[in-house]
Amino acid sequence: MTRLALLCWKYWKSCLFTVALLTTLAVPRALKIQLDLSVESLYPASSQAVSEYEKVKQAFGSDAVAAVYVEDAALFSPARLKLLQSIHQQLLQLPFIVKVESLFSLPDVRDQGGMISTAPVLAKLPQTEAEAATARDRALNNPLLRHQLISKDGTAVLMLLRLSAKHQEISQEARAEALEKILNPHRDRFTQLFQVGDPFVQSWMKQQLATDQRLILPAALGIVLLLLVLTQRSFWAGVVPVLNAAFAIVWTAALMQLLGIPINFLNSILPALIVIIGATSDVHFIHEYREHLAQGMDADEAMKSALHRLALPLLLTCSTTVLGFATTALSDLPILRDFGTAATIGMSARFFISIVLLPSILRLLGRVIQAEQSHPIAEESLSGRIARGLVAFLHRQSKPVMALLLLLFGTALWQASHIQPGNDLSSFLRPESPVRVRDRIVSENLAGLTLLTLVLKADPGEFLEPRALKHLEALTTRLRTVEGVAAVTSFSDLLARMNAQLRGGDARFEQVPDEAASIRQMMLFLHPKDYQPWLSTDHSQAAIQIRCLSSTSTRLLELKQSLEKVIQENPSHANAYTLTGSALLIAQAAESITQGQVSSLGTMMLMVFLIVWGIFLSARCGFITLLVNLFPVAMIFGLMGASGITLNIGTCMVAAITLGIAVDDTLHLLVRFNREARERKNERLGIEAAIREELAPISITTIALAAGFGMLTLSSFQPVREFGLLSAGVMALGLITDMIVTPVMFGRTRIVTLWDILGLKVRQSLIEKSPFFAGLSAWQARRVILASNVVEHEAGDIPVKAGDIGSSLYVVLSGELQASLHTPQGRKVLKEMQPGDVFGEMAFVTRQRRTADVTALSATKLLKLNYDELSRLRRFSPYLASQLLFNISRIVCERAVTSAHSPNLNLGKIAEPKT
Amino acid sequence: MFYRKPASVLTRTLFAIASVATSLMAQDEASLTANDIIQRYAAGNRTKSEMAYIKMQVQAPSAAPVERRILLAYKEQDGKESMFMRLLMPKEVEGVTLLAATAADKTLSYHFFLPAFGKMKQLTPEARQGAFLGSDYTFEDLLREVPEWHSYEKMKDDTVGEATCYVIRAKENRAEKESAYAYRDLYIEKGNFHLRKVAYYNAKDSLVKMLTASGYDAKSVKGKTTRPQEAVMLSVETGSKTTFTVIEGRVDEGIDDEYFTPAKLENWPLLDVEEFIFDLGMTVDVN
Repeated sequence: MTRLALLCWKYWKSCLFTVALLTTLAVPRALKIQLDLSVESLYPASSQAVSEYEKVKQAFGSDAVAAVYVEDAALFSPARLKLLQSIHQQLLQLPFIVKVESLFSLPDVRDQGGMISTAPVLAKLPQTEAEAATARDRALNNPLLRHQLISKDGTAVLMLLRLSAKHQEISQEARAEALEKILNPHRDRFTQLFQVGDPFVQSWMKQQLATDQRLILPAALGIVLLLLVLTQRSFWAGVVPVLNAAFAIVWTAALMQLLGIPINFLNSILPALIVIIGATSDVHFIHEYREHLAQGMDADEAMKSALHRLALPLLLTCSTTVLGFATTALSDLPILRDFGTAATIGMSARFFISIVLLPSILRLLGRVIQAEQSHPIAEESLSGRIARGLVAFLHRQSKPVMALLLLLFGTALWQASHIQPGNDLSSFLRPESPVRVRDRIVSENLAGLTLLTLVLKADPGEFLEPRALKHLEALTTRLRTVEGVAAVTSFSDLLARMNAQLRGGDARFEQVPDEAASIRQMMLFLHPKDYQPWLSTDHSQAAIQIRCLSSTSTRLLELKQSLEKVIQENPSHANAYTLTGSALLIAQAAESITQGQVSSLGTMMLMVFLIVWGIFLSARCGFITLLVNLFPVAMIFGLMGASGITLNIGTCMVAAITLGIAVDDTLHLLVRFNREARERKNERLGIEAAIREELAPISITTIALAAGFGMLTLSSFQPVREFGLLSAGVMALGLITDMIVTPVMFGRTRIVTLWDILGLKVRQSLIEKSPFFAGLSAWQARRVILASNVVEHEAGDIPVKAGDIGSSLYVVLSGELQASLHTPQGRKVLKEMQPGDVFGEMAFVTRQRRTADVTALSATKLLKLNYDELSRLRRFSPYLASQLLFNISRIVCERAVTSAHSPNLNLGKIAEPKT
Repeated sequence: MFYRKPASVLTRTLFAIASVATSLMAQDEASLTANDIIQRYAAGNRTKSEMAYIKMQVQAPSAAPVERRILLAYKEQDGKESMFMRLLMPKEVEGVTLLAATAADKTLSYHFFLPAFGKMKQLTPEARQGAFLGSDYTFEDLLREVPEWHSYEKMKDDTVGEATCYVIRAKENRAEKESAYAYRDLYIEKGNFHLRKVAYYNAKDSLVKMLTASGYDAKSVKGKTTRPQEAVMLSVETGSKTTFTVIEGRVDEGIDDEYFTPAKLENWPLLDVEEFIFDLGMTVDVN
């Protein structure tokens, strides 16, 4: 990463040209990106349930229809019916409509003055009010039409439009527009005249997406630009991240198009996310670069230093952010998978652009991006006072604070157990949106458009047998009584209707006949297409069409349970049954959302743990980091449970994505803490300094992220609004827990990074020679060195003075030292020490006065370790600690033995005062 | 076609057809107009009476074929036409009868007899668009071509199998449109004026159904008038098809009027039907 960035810095013109060229080439492809707002993206593409649904659609026709709703108190008058007929005929002319099912077209078997008619109710247009009233009564008299195509009071009718699977080239928007063209001229003639269904919904959603883009993207850009310009005090420092985001957006769109990922209402927020999230890494980098310039470095040096300092944290934070989005792609739902994939591409592209373009742009704008006149944050500054006060408070009150946090955590988890999964398109839209308003009107007056199909499966020909049909009839009747069901129709209704009409319209015969011959003979009136919605062509499957009052996923799933109970209680000839429908599939996909939530959050937790463990070489460190960042997620889940916010396709992304982003601040804090603790040789001072230094940048990025996510609340879509709101909440809470939990957890812990170990230069011979490191690998020895304090002394310094009380042992890492004893005869040199030698081990064990001076003969580096530090090491790495204790014990024993034989030359003897 | 359509205007039409038939025969085929071709085709279908024993097979997708046996009888007398079709097999539908006739006021009427429901019922005229005996044919499809009700346009010639055909587009020209179709393309073989194919289109110019007729040279139909032995109607919408196969046919051998009355058809035991068939010299098995 550093090499690539430096290469782009060096060859900045070529780099800029290449990026510009690639972006130019990407633009045409990006513009070809498809839009997909279909409901199919809301349920898994392949599963047993979907496969069953496809089979049911094949056999009984699709439940995906559009419809024209017409309402008027005087609807059944010759003039209005003539208009309706005209509309019906115009609708039929539309190329994407296969069939219009209405009172003008659906066969109505009836006894008409002794004659049998199979003609639709309005096959002949009524010429008088009386004829119109008769037609209305006929329609109301037919259970297959009443409440389905005509309201119970006869003031509203529905024309169901069966849409062609062909003509996919005609967009839903064009379809909706074509329907509007037909309806518009007649609007003033009816109280209500409007279309509902897929074309309208998708067309409206597309318009809302465009509106959202016009609102959210500029708002996100504006907020990021404003915050950056204000905090960086440089216009260009604010513009550069926005510029980078623009390139990344084009690349992302082009790659999405290349991979066939369409835009849906979830990934339409990607541009805003790229702007918001991507800006943070740029800000850190530009800030660091300008700081180095301010320190008097030239541009080359400033770039190298900035990269050296930020490469690790940036790589880490980018990785966790990308992973957070990538885990979303683990979902079964196409809409989430597409979002996860697109967002992974987008965030990766964004960070790649940062690496290659940022150095080039900084080189280009070298004159306008000036050094930032920053000063070290004084301990008496606001940040300093907050940091000191916070650390002191937490040091004193760590147990009550942790107890409080645990209580909150537990309460949140309990509340989170009340979260209901939710997945239905209508709840994604605002209640006042025309889609929901129209659906409500249709549902109030008619049976609505939410359709479930119950398919009973038996042997071929079975559903022409009277016994099977009687059972079907009983089940149909029983299903009508289930709460939440608006209307139920089955083949038994058609037969019962025909039976009565063929017997002079006698209502007593409105039931399935008892004799097989009657059924077979009635069948002669019917073509398979006449009974297609209810009966398979081989008569082995009977479908019961159930229209529901509500389409919310929770209620639909409850209704499914009620229906299944009824099915199991009622005898039927079915060997098996299927209850399906697109609305049900979407509702059932809520389970996929829950599973996806578990898998994405679980994966993200594991990845964060592994990354932190890998980088800081400590499982405990990984666990604490995870805990710190899970706390805000748990709180948000608790809030969702308490406030009734469902786990939907928007809210299910919050946990994994925000965990990936929020952990960035923790990592920045830990990396800073690592540096500060080492420099100050004290963890408490280290954490205080880390908070002091990081409070402002972390707060600014948190505010920027929270504000950016907050912009998503401007969306027209509920899942996006909730995602934005909850993510902003996690960001804000993450800042608080970072500042509270991190000091408590890490305030007494020395952390070591992988990079520290790799970067530590220790001679192999020293490790092999020193008894202190015996039994340890070079890697383990480095860890021990880094977990301890390394002190440096100039020639002539006296690290250990005779008479001082000490508790640390020392290992000579470099340089030479001399142990000497002041005697009445003068100074007596006892021993000269080389790298690898150990001294002070007895004080380490018994904490007694030093009995000799140890003087540095040259510039020296010493590892200094006391018992408390070893105890802390034991918590993080028991094996290392036990090995060290063993080594120290051996050193002490050997020293004791040597001391017995040559007391004057024994360093241990020197180190320990005689008693 | 293999049976007659009773129609009120048919009588008038037949006179017209007969008067021009001779002169038309002499015309050079190349100069024939669409109307000429239709008139020749209609003239070739004329009979005084007709009997046929037919196998009807309905084949819906993903389902076993359903087979039925039908007795068809047609009679034309003094301009009044009558036709009945009686189902003989399978047992559950045995006795189901459709009676179509031109009434005294020249209007078309349909009666339907379902034994399980007791009495013969009259169907309303709109029923012509309904499915015929649950098949892919509607009553309308079975009507004989009525030139007065249509305007014809000659399209580019085409072939059906090896037969070169005139393609005549027929559109209903009556003020009150009763047809379910926007237009039909009739494929009439050159030379013999046999109907080979009919393509049915809806208002969006989409093909909805297609009829193919074959077996004009079969010997199963005895009489001067030629009839196809097999006609297959394919429903493009559903993918189902219905095949009519004439097992035996008799043309112009005379049938008593009494058979074309509701009273007779409602009370006509199967044994009597078999005897009736036997008397006509047909050797079909209805058991």
